Amino acid sequence: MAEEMEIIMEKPIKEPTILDSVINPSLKKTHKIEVIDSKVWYGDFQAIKGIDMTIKANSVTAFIGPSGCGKSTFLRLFNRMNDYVDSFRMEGKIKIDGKNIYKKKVNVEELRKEVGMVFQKPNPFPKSIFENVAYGLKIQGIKDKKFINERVEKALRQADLWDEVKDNLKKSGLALSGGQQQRLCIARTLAVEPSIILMDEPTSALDPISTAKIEQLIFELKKKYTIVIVTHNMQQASRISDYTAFFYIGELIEFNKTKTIFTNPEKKQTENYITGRFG
Amino acid sequence: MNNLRKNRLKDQLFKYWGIFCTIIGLVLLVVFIGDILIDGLLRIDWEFITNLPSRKPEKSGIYTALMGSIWILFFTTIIAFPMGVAAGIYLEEYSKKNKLAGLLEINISNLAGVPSIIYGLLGLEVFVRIMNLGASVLAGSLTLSLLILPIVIVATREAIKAVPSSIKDASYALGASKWQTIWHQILPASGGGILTGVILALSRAVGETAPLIVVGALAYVPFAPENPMDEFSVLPIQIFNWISRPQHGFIENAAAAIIILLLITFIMNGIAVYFRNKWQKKWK
Repeated sequence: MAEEMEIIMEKPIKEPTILDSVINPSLKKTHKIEVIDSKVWYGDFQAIKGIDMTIKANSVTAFIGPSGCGKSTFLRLFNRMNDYVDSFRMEGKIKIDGKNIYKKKVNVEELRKEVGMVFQKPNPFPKSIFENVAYGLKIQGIKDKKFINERVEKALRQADLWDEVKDNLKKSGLALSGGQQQRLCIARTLAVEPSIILMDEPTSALDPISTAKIEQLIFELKKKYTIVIVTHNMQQASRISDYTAFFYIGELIEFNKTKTIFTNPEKKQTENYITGRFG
Repeated sequence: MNNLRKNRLKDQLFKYWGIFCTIIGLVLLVVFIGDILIDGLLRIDWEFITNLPSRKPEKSGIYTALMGSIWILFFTTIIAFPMGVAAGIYLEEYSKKNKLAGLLEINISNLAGVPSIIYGLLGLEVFVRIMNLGASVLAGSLTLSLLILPIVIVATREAIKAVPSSIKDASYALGASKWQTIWHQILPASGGGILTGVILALSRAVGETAPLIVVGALAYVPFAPENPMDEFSVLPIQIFNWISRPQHGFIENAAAAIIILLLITFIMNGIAVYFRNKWQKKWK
């Protein structure tokens, strides 16, 4: 196990350089997420017990931990998807680009255009492939067909799905394979051009080949987007992420560079978990 | 071994008992419909449908009652459909799931079981007397709307509940507002179920007699309603009226009118089934 981990870690991870930001000006946007003492309750149950965290722009941050440790709840704080749970209550601050997104004045719909999300199970709308990708634009009131067409094509290309679907964009999104559906969901998210993408176990329902494609995709997307991914797959976390956070029963046990977490974790608990001794 | 045989015997017994019960239901239905058809089928012609009611059975027709039923159906639809669906959407998507919501839910389910004559009394007091609408099409439609509102609400909620939450999540996560999610995702996905529920509720309304008698629908109206404030009669009341007459000719008339009424409800139920199947194909 440990050997395997080292082999994986030897893959060079390309850090964004100054040159990149000249070629691609959107890199200059240094979106980041700052979490200050966040606590979450569902009714009487405390799911998050006071977590502080800073997530850097244009990086991939992985959340790992056993089921029920609060990592998905924590992820869903960033686009306020927990708001729909009736018993949900939250304290603390979450700042995106320095603005607290839990202030009363915040427009949740605007926030979600900046912070996209990909879910565990591929969940395309029961509409055509084109309509799936165009949905986020159409609900913004965009009517310019040329603009929508361009955006849809661009998003499908970014999600590495264009070549497979370009001839039948009118086909139902549900007719695609599981892996294609998930890439369609990623394309749908990209079409809105968010700056942050949250991924909640995006490959757990997919076969290894589809998983590899999506991991490759995440690696590409990092250049333009800040990605936070929840995963149950240790290898995946070590392969694709720059930073890894280990959660246990509502607490953040350790948060560091992925390399450090997987080769030289500070806490015994973290080591036990990533080597498979518990969890 | 003995036990095994006993169980098998019980199994067989229950099976035949089930078959017997099913057949009884079907036979009664066939006998009833057959009887009606024999009595009334020959009586149905274009004149029967277009003639006004008359003292003479062979000259009287169902025109006023049929038009009354159509008017009532039309107004009941435009009142109950938007209100019921809106209430269903509110209860399922907007209201918080607290004790008050629970209380509301139980009450609405109970309302669906209140005898229709009670709605008639309510309609008489509120619409006919307090709102001073008189024994009009509008008063009748409002009363029937009240009657089927709980059914429409419950059907709407069930249809919305069946929409997978992953679809809603996906819509919200793309920045859609609640209303956009309801309009673009939830309603299209649940439309078949809602429509089915509404049509079934309406086909119940079209056969209702008691509440309309209480509200003051007339057994004899010499003209078809021309506006919502006109007096009216409906098919079930016309049938009731004819059956209570001594002449044999009116019995024939009643049977013929029953056939028309059955035809209307069958067609409505057929449309409901058609929509359900069509929607299921499209969304699954």
